[in-house]
Amino acid sequence: MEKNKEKKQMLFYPDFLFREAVAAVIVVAAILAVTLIWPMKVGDPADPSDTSFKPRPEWYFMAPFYLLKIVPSSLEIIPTVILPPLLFAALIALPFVDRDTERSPKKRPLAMALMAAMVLLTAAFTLLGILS
Amino acid sequence: MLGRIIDVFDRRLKFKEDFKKNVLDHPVPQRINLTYCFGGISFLLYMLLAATGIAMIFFYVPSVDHAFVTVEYITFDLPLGNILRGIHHWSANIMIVVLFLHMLRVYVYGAYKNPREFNWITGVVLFAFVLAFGFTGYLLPWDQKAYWATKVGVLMPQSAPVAGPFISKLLMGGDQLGALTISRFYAVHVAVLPIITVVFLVGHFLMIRRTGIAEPL
Amino acid sequence: MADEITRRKFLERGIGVMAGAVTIGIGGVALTSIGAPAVTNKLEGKWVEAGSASDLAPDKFNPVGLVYESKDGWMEGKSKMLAYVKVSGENILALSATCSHLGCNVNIDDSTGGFKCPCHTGVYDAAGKNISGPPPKPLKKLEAKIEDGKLMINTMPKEEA
Ligand code: HEM
Ligand code: FES
Repeated sequence: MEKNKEKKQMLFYPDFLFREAVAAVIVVAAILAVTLIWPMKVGDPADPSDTSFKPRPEWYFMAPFYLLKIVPSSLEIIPTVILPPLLFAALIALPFVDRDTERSPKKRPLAMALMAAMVLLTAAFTLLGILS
Repeated sequence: MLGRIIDVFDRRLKFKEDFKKNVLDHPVPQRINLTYCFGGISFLLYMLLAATGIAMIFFYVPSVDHAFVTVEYITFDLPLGNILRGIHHWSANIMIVVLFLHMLRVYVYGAYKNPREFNWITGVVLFAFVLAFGFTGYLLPWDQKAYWATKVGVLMPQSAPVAGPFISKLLMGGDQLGALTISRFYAVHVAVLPIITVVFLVGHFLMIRRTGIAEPL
Repeated sequence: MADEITRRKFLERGIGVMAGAVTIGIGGVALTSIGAPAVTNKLEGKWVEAGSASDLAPDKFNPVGLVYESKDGWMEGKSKMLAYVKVSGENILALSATCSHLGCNVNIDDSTGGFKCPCHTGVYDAAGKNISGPPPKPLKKLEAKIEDGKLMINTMPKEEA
């Protein structure tokens, strides 16, 4: 049944690009809105002799930051040196490790579970980092 | 008008038909949903970042003495400067989110599988480049959060055996986070990364064109 | 025929060798100069005058900001750092505030007389020794002396506390 479903197609131009253009206008409008609502500010100039400042990275580096905080010094090398390259290597290797041609998420429970675990873990570490 | 000008060139150079056939008329699956726009949105954000970034290059000076004051100038004195910097800032942050969603969509729909393995790999590399954009850009205002976050970041490789301390010095351009650090972060942020990112973007797009977007399930 | 093929091979290899040599040569020059400061741009130690010794509260750590002339690549200007100095009678203990973990400035912890780091919760005791959290080593000791009532500190750490 699934296989027999007609493969309906549209043209990249103008059908698909019109949808993209609508999405693009919405995104640009949203960016302009947040820019106007929250104008940019500047912090205090960098001062290597200051101790009042509590250093924190950008939110998307919070997860590794939080790991740095909780890992004891003997395991330091895991979040700093081992994990980042390992994660990227795993992402690059993914299509060659998972060679099953099944694409439907419903029929790939292991892949979906792995993804959910990774997303939840990253979200949790990011949140804990922001709160700490 | 534009059509007439294009025709003048096309009569001599004959590119219109190839362009129409290879780019414009390309078929796209009809049943795609909203999640398929995240790649295109990422590209849009990249263009916004390039445009606002290039505009800021006109004013920003990457030195320990001038970085902070030039950013202050852009933020408070330059007409529309606050908006310029704001668009750059928000686009950068939203791009991380949108890229993450793009990756999730590709993963959930199994679109990384044969024959699209290399679409995925160029994508992973692009993601790494975008994170590097974020890291190098964070230092440039040379304010407190820039200085301290970057200090922690560049010292992270230190714990690696043998080459660790050398890698940190390579990132800083010497023993301290200072004049040479800010100029090399700037060079990477505005020259090296934009160029290699465009190279991988072209690869990403050409491969998508060749394999087509994966048929919706 | 056979002659034709070897000629073609020769040309092909030639293109490869020439393009490769130019790329490696020029790329090598560019990359070497980009990397060189990692080795050549050294921070040099300086004796700095850090105010008068009588301003320091005795038997406890005082934060002392050091400002000194330094050369960083092309730039000759002022660098800054922070030291914690404790004078007990004849003894002076000066510690660099730089955390041995990832370089944040540590704060004085009034409850213990030691230090704690705002970045990843590293903790040091009153001798500068790392006692908990990620820091792998003690704080670095700075050479310090009092001359004519003036506190003098060397900016280059000598040893671990
Ligand atoms: C600067 C960053 C990126 C840009 C501008 C970009 C752009 C695009 C665009 C426009 C598409 C067409 C379909 C769609 O929009 O969903 C696409 C498809 C694809 N992207 Fe990306 N992408 C980027 C990063 C990534 C990342 C981080 C990954 C994954 C690690 C990735 C993997 C893929 C794959 C496998 C496809 C083919 C999907 C299919 O055939 O359904 N891309 N990309
Ligand atoms: S920098 Fe001090 S604990 Fe990490």
